[in-house]
Amino acid sequence: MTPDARAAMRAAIAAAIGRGTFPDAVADHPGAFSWSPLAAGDRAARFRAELEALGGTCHDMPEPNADAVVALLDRLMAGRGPRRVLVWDEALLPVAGLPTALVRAGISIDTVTPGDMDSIERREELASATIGRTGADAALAETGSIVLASGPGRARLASLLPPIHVALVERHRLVDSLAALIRVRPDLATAGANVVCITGPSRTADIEHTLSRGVHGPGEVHVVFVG
Amino acid sequence: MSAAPASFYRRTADALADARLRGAVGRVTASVRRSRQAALDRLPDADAWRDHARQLRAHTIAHLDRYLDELTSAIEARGGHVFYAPTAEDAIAYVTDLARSRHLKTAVKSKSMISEEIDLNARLEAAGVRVVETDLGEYVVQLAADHPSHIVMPIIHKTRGEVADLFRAKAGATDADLADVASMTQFARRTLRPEFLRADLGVSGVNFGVASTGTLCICTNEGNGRLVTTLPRVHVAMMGIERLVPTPEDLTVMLQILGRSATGQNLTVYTNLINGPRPDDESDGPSELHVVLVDNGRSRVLGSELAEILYCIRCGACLNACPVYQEIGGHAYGSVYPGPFGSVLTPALRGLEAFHDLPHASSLCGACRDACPVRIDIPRMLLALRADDAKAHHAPWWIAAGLRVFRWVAVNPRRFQTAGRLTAKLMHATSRNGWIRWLPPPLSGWTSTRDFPVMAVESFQERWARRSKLPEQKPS
Ligand code: SF4
Repeated sequence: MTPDARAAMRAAIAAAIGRGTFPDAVADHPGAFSWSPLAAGDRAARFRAELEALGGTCHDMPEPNADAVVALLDRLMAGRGPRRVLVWDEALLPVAGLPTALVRAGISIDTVTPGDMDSIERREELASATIGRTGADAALAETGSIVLASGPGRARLASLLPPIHVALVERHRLVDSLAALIRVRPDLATAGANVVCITGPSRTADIEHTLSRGVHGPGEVHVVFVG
Repeated sequence: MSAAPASFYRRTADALADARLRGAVGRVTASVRRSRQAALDRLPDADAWRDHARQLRAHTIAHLDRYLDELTSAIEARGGHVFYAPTAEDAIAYVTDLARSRHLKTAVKSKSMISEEIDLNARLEAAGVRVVETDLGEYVVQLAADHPSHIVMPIIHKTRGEVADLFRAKAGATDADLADVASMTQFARRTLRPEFLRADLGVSGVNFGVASTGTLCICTNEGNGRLVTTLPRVHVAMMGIERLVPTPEDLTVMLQILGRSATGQNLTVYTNLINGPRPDDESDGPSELHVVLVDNGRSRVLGSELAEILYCIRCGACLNACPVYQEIGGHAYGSVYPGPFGSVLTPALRGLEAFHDLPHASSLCGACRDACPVRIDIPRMLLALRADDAKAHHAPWWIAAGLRVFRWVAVNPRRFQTAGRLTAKLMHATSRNGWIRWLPPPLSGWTSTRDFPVMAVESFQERWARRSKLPEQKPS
C-alpha cells in the first residue's frame, strides 16, 4: 500500500467522525473502573471451584518435590499415549531436579527450539507428546485461569499440542482476576510475542449445544500450586 | 457477503415452515439466555462493568482515527505489517498477493466474521490456496457449502444427525467416529491436526486490537485460534477498523462482559494476546504478522446517525434475546450479520436499497438493547432506518394512500364518527364470535396469520355522551 492510500483512508475516517453521532462518548478517556477485591482468604478455594466447574483439576504441592511431579505425570499419561512430555525450560519452573527424575522414570523429554518450525517432520514429532508441562506467570481466582507468556524456553506449543496440560505455578502468583493482574502488572500483557490466558480445557458446544472437551487444545488441564 | 437474496418474506416463510429449525434455534437460544443471565449474576457490579464498557467503546469510536494511528505504530514497532483496506477488494488483493509472493499453499483459518463479510475463502481458493476452516462449526459449514446462521454458534441450525451425515460423506468418518458428539469432536481433532501442522498460512479474525500496545486479542474456546496463530509461518489477522480498545486495562473490561454475554462463560477458554511476529529468541510462532484493517463501508457508518452500531463487540446476545431471531434463525436475514444488530449493520454497510426489509424484521420490543453488554440502542437505529426507507418510497403505495385517506377522515370530528360507525357495522356483519377471519388484500397480510378483533359497536364518544346523561353516582 502506498502511504497515500493509507493517508486517504485515515483522512476519510477523521472526516466521518466529524459528521457522526456518538451517544455517550466523552472527550477524554473514561479512566479506570473500580471494583471490590475478593477477600484474600477466598482466593485458593475460588480458583479450585472455578477450574473444577470447567472440568479442570487443581493440585496442591506445599513443598516442591520433583518425584511427586513425575508420579503425577506418570499416572496421567498411563494408557494415553507415548511416554513423552513437551516441556518449558526447567530453569523457569518452580520445582528443581525434574529432568533427572523424568529420565529415571523412563519418560522422554522434548523441547521446542528455534528452527523447529521450519520442518514438518519435527512439528509432527512435537505433536506426539502426551503431556505438555509448563510454568505460569499468574493464576486468576475469579475465573480459574492461568496466564502464560511466551519467551525463550517457554514454547506456546507445550500448552497447546498435547492432549494433557500440566502447569506448575508458585502459589504467590495467584491473584483475583485478569483485570486485577493487568492493573498491577500492565507489562505482562506484552511480556512475550504471545500471552495467553487459559481458562479450563479446550471445549466446544457447536454441535447441538452439547459440551465436549479437547477439540484442538488439551482436553485435560491440571494446575499444580507449589508452595 | 453475497448479494441479498430476492425476498426476505420468502425466506422468512420458509424458515417458519421448518419446524425442526424453529425447535433447534428456540431451544439453544433459550439455554444460552439462561447461561448469560447466570454469568452476569455471578459478576459483582455487572451493570457498572457494562456501563463502563459502553463508555470505553463510545469514546474509542468517537476518536477512532487517533486510536488507529496508535495501533498502527505499535504493531509496526514490533515488526508487524499493517495494511489499510478501504474496500473488500483491497483486502482480498492484499491477502492473495501475499500468498502468491510467499508461495503459500494451504491456509488454516479460525473464525472470522470479517472474512465471511468479504468472502475471502472463495477468493483465496481461486488464487490457488487451499483453505481449511478449523473452528468445529465453521468446518461443518465449509463441508456443507453452507453459511453460518449465528455469529457465535455458526451451526445452531444443524442437527447432530446432519453433521454426522456430512462427516461420513465428505470427510470419510466411520460409524465409530460418529457414535456421539464426543467421538465426532475427536474425529474433527484427528482430521484437522495434520492440516494445522502442514499449513503455511494462518488466517484469523481479531476480537480487539489494543491501541497503546499493538496487541491483538483473539478469543476462542477450541484452541484452533492459538494453533492458527502459532504454527503457520505467516499469520494474517483480519479486523474491522472499529475493533479497538485504548489500553490493556480497557481490554480486561471488555473481556469481563464478552464471554459472559456470548456464551455465559466467565472468560473464553483461550484469551490469546498477540504481540507481533516471533522474535529470534522465541522458539515458536509465525515469522510474519500482517494485520489487515478493513473499512468496507465502516467509515460511512461512522459519519452517520448509525455510528453507535460500531460499538458492537459481536457477542451475539441480541440474537439470542430477539423473539424474531428465535423464530426465523439466521439465514432468513440474508446477511453474514443476522439478528437485531445485523438488521442495523447490514443496511448501514451495504445500503438500504438491497436490505430495506431488515429494519422491519423487529417488533421493537427492546430485548436486544437490554441484552447488549454495551447497551447499544438498536431500536432507535431500526426506527431511523425505517424512516429512511419510507423516504426512499420503499413502503407500499397503499400505505401512503391509506394514511392520506385516514388524515382526511381524522381531521374532521363528524367524518371521524361516521367512518367509525360504518366500519364497526361492516365488521360486525362479516365477523364470527367477535373475530374476523378473512380480509381482502392488502389487509390479508394481517388475517393470513391471525384473526382481527372487531370494533365495539358503541364508540367511546357515544358512550361518554350516554354516561354524562345518567344521574351522578355517589361514592359509597
Ligand atoms: S449489538 Fe450488542 S448484543 Fe448484539 S452482538 Fe453487538 S454487542 Fe452483542
